[in-house]
Amino acid sequence: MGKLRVMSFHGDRTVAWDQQQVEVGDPEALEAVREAERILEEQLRRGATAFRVDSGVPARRIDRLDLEAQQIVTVPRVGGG
Amino acid sequence: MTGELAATVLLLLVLPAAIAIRARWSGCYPSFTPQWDPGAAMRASALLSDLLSEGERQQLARYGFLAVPSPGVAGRVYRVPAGSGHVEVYEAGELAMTVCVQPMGPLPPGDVVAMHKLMIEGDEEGYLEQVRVHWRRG
Repeated sequence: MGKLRVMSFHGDRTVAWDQQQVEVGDPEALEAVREAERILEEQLRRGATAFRVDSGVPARRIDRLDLEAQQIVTVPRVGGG
Repeated sequence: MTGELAATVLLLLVLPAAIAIRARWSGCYPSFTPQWDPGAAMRASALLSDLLSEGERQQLARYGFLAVPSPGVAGRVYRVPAGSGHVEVYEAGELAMTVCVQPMGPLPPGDVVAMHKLMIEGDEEGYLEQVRVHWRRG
């Protein structure tokens, strides 16, 4: 399963998709991917940053949905305190 | 496996308290500290736990900070506190500077630690562009 996790005041919100089902064109899986794309684009427009996170390797910044990622985590806009 | 479970449980229980205590004494924390919905704090701690290795979880629970090696500069390590507070930047084992960077809106404590780790690992240059340097070795 791939996951998009959006950090927020309420804790992270998650949208998950099944990569294998996406590959075979399962409508529910494709809908989950569309929802994840919509949320990610909205977050990036608001100044968030997205990172691909796979176990055992450092996080990597990305600017679009990567369906092969184990997880994608978005961090909201930051500033110096 | 038992050690991993114990470290995770310790992290989930200790982190919010450690952050609350540290926030009272640190100069780098949001001016507004909301009362967190317990569900939000738990979700954030769970996300953080997912992002950390067993060693990192134990380090954070035992020592109250997470050491994040710089991907771009050999010998540089960022010490991210368990919640609010300055991030300490060590170079060749010596404190080189302390910096502060915060989310523009409030995030539950575990998410703040995760935010630092992700940004340092995945976009160190962008991270350093955002920080405010509070102290730098002369």
